Amino acid sequence: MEAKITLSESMEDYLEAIFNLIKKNGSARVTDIANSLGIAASSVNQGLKKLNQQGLIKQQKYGPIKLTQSGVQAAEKVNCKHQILYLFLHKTLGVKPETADQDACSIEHVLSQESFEKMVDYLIKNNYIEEQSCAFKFMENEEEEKMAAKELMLASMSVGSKAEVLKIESKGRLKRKLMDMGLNRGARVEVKGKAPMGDPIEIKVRGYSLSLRQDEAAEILVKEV
Amino acid sequence: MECCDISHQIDIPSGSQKIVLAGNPNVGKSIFFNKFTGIYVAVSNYPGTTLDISSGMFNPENKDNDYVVLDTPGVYGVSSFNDEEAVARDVILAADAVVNIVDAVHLERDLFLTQQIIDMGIPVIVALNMMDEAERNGLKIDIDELSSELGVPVITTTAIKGEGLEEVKNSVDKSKVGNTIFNSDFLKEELDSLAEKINSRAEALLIMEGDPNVAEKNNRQALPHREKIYKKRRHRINNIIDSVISENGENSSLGSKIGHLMLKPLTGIPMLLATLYLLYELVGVFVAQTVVGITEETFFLEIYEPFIRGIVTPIIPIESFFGQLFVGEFGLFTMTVTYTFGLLLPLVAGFYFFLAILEDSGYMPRIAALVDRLLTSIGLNGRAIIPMLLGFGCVTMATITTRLLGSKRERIIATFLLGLAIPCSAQLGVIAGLIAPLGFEYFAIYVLTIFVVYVLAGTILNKVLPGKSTDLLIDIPPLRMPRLSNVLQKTYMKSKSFIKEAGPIFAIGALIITVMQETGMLTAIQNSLIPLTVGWLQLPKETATVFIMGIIRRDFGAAGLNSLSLTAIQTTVSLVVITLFVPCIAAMMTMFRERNWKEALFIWFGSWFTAFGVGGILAYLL
Repeated sequence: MEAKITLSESMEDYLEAIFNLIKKNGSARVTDIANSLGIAASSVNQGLKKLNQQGLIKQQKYGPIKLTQSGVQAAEKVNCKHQILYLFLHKTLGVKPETADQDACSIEHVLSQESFEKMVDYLIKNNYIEEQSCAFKFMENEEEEKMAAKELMLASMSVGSKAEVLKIESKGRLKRKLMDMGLNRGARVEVKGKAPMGDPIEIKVRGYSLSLRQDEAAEILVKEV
Repeated sequence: MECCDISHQIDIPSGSQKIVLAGNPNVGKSIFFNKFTGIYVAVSNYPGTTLDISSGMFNPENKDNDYVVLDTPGVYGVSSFNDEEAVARDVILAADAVVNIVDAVHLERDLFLTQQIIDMGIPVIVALNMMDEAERNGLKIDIDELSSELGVPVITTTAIKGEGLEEVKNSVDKSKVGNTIFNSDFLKEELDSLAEKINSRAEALLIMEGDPNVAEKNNRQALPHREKIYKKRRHRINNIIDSVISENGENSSLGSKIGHLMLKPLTGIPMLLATLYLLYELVGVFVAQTVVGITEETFFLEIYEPFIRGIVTPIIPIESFFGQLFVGEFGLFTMTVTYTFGLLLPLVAGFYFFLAILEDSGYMPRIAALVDRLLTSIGLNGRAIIPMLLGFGCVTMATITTRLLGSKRERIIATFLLGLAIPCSAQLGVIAGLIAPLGFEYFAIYVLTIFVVYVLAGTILNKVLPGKSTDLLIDIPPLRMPRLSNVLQKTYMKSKSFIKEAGPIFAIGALIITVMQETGMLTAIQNSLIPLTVGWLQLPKETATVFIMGIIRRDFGAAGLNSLSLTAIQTTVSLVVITLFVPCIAAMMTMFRERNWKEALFIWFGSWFTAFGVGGILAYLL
């Protein structure tokens, strides 16, 4: 079950840059990110907006950028893939360090979980990495995530995923109407589709199709099943 | 809370036994009503077809009693979320028995309302409708078990095919007070004691569920037990569902696949555009040109009008006042009849026919969901697409339909936009005829101008009026093949009621124009408007007549432009002004009735101001 947020390549690059900057300087600013990626500050701002929407970063107006917990996780994951790829290319295939680093940068975004795990296995077998490598933490996380279903808002669920309603956070009439329509605790929902611009969304609940806005879906807490 | 006052009073006939038809939206209540009373009310496949309470008498076979049957708007619960629900609530509260129509395919959703009505202590009979669809979807429902769990009779029906309706009709006196969710806890005690105090178990339950209106009516505080009661009720429904449904086949028919494609951006938008193009081809091209060409030109203008003049003129000379009144330029027997039956009737019927297909197929709510995002930016809700599309048929009709919108704010915006920038089918035909010869350039200018005005007006109203767009929450019914008989019946009924409503107003308009012309008032008004028409809009002074006629019927105005010789620019400017100008007198009267006079006057003057303002700017720019 692969229902987590999927990030585009450039988003992963941003995340990685922020992660590295924070590690190096203790904080990340828009200009630093722009410099380290070699792109314009305005495009960085757009990228940051998207990351913010997905809850991966936090940014006070004009303040430094911070990673949220899930942001750190996502960044660590990309970073780790990079390390493993680099080691694999450099140590086992004998690729030059610069080329290996560059290639790792491009491959990290598309590397599947399976190939990644096989690479890690191979590297361990040949004693290129040790037990403390980031790979283990990352693989454990992956396991844990699979075990524990995530709580999230109905609005951020992707098409095709199923969930169980935990709580309706809206108040008053809207809440009552939602409850009348069968969207209360324990109801199973499935996201069937999204209209243009992602709004409104169509869900299947209690055997019928219901169309509701992102704003409305953002008030319904669900647990993926 | 301004929307749900008790101001919404409904006349409930007294005396006979009151049978109320209740159910979720789009479960087929209106078909039952038609069958029970023989009175036609519109049946569609979109939620919210029933806006008013229809009532009728019926007398079941072999029974002595007469019954009054009341239809209600579809609701998910008896409460006061909006006007529709408040109306349904008041009718249900007055019921002697409720025929609860339940969609067998969506039992899990629909039984919630059933249980609520049972909890109110009102005798209920359940009509388990859409059994054919349930069977097709592989649903097996244990009817006896359902009946004994609920404690009320359950009759299976397939209303669109007429199956089971007769049985329901003859069983209304078998309705029973069912098994409530209240057994022996504090909720039951509280409900019992409250019911005794206010002498109504139904109202007591609604107060316990926190309904502010019912509480106020009884001079009591609404109680905070809703969550607990709802939880119990949902729990019970889940148990019932578990014990009565044995097979739940997943619906993966062709219909549900197409229905799904209609909502996806990549396929949904082309499908919507294709639908609108088809509408244009049918009404805008085929009906407006081919059919109207035959009815108006060939029949009414060439055969009917000379014929009627031939009869009347030997008795009343055409130059006299009455000659003009009856068979003159704007004569009651000439222009009124020609326009009503030769031009309007084919256009309106064509439009209603297409719309009936869209409604019955279940495509409408899908369009509503698809355009919701766009309409929220002008303060409306996706649902507003229904009055907006209807407006292209007839603004008067569409104004009435604005009732299905959830708040007063949305109704004002929709009504204003309808009056301002939506040309009705009659007008559209004439406009299309006038603008087509001018070439694409002018057509584009016209469309763009109207569109910009529409969006600007909506955006400004959205900013100015307090509040925000209401919740969408629209249920998407399964796609169904429209039945030709229902489509034709609906087209016929709507066209007929349109002619009935519009015909007399049309005649009065013609009368006023003739009187004004004969008394010289028309010339006087034309002259007084010269600064506006000639100076500001750069049009010949006769166009003033056209604008005045535009008030009587918008298409009168547009058609009047035919007889003036105008340049391309002048034609475009006049068409823009006529489109934006006040809607016809029939639509205006409807606006006064639906809104109050203050808002209607605001709409009236607002559209005058916009029409001449935009027209002037356009004349200056071109």
